[in-house]
Amino acid sequence: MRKLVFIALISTLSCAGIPEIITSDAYNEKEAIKRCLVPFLKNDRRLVHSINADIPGGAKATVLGVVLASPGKKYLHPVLMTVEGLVIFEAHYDGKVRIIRGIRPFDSKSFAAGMIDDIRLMLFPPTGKPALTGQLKNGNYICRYKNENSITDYIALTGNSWQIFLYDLKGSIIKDVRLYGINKNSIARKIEIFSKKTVKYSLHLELVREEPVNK
Amino acid sequence: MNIMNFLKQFKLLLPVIISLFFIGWGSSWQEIKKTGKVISSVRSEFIQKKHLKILAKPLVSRGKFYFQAPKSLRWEYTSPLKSILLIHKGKVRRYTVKDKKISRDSSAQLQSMQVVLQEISLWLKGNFDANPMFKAEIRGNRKIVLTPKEAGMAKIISRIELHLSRRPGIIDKVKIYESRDSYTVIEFRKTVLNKKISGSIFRKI
Repeated sequence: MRKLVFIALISTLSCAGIPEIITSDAYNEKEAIKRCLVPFLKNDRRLVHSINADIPGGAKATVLGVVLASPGKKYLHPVLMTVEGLVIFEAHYDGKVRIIRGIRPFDSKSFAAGMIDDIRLMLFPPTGKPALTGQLKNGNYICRYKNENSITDYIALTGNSWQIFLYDLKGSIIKDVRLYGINKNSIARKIEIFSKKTVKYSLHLELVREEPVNK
Repeated sequence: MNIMNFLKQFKLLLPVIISLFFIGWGSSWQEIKKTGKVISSVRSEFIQKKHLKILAKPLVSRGKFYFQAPKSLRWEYTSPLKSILLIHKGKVRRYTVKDKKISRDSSAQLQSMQVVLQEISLWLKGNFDANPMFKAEIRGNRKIVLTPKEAGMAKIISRIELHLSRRPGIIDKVKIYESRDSYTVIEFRKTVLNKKISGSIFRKI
């Protein structure tokens, strides 16, 4: 019954803007899931990015970001610093967000929570099984995950690129994430995040350095 | 302390660093001040190493800077990203260059840079002991330590160490400590003093 309700919900949402997912006899679900989840960390890594931000009010800023990420433990330790090397934000996440250092306005809980959400979305694979998998009209594999608050589509594009859409339950896009140039360690050379609701901003990340975390 | 005040105060560090090129060596502020008048320009390359507990090895940035007395500065990062800060004829501008595209940093805190330049003439005369932001001490051989006077600033930067070269008028390196585990080291090399610098360096990206 729940499955029927969900399929009905998805069908309705297709009208709202969430793309229709097509399955066919030739379609291979295991292959679809495998393809959808390529650009997410498999092991603990330490990543450094340059980040160009377009923020509300038309301002632009460039910072450097460092993150120690453990997909297995769902743990994150992000640091943001100016180009000159001064730390403006540092936090831990292990299910809860704990701010270690924050210079106003980067000391706010809402900023920290939003940043952790963005990092999780672009680095960690989704949990559980997809609610629906298949292909789009253009043949790209798509995996759709759902929770009580949102729907997330993971799409394998052509040319070593992926796209993630985070929707609210009405089908409006909350976040649009694009990952390009995935290397053998499942790390994107370039990531773009477009926040479409509430606070509109965009982040353009370029990988500076990545390395394993030695235990 | 909010980000604007913090960045304003941090950017005040740049003239501190730069103006120390203008000092010769001595064991007292009086001797330092004596040599403060003879420098008209500085150009140098730098390597910046950011040390963080979270990093297995420091994050290395490279760049160069130019300073022309009294008020022109170009502080340029060439890697890992290209970022240029220009101060010239009362204007402060910051740019990032990515994929051959130039983007101007329009953050509000740049306006506070105007205040920075008013302090430069003070430091150029070697009046570090008169600096309202920092307490300055000469420690040991060719080392100056700056400690923030304001509690808010001290939570962000605990101290700055300036390591002076054997060559008069040259700084070897600057260390900026946020905490014991988080600090930035800027090493200067190929420093040239008092050579004419074209004005276009401070205007063009």
